[in-house]
Amino acid sequence: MVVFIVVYGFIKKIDIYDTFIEGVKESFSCILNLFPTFIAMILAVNLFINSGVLDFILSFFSPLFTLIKVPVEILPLALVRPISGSASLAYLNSIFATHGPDSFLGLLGSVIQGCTDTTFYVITLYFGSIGIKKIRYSLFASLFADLVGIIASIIIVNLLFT
Amino acid sequence: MVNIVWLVLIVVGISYGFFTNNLETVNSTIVDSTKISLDMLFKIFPVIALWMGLTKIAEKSHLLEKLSNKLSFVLTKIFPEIPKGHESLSLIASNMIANIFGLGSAATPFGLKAMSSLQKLNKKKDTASRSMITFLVINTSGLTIIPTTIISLRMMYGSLEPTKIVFACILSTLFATLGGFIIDRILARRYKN
Repeated sequence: MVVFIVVYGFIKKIDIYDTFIEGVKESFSCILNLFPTFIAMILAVNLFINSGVLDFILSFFSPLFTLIKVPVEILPLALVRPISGSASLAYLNSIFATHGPDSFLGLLGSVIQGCTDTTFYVITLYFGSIGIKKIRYSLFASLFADLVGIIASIIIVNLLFT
Repeated sequence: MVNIVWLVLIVVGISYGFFTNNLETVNSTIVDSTKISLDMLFKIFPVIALWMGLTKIAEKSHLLEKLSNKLSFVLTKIFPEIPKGHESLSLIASNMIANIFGLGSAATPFGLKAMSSLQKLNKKKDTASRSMITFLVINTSGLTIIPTTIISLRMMYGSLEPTKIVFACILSTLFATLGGFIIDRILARRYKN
């Protein structure tokens, strides 16, 4: 795909090198925008996880999860996914580090991370940018889509990889 | 909304640590979290930089535009309220295509432009219109065909088959988008009055 884009640009007589540099330059402002959200969310989510609250909550769910043959460790990822993309990415990071990317948990985590986008972030960003205050049923519909996606991931990964 | 989520996470986290005599962990978490965020940022920075450079080429060579024309037939079916040939349709298409290729950072600018274009058609300026919500639901449910970030993260941790998850991702995204789309249609009808 990289080759295709670059060659296509060259054929269309675009100044590919300068255009590439220009695009990369734009990534700096993108990263700068990400940094504050990263710090804020990682601070809050890490406090929540490290203080043991999450384990406490998870202990209630674990019998249910073992019943449907889903590892409990995946629950925080599924819960955090719609709230914060960077936090769930951080969580996926730690799953990869402890269990490995090719383990069942690693595969399931990858699919859950990939199947939906960060609902809260997208709503804040898109509606915030044009001054919409009454978001009507959009949050409910989006969260419903996330739920469908997460359930589908669990079923699909179970079917494909075990 | 974000305010409440953030507050709850912090207050519950710290107070739980306090009552379980675990304040030491809480303190070190506060100090470490900035360092962790910076580390993570440095890890994803190169990926974003590379893709933003490439999308710029795709954008300037009208590659994105070309692909969006192919989508316009489907789009008029999904967004019946938007008049044919309106600029918002091609912006929505560009956003979707960028999403499909896993270029989240490229999708956002198009998405924002599409939203402000939809706002021009909107009658009540402080209330989300039906097309806006449909567009939002499709966006939040992903649409990603090639999850580049996840693949590169898998590579970083030495996965033997980093792309093994692609098919499963496509399937589950399809279900999520379909589920969101159906509930959107049902709710749109119910909220009409």
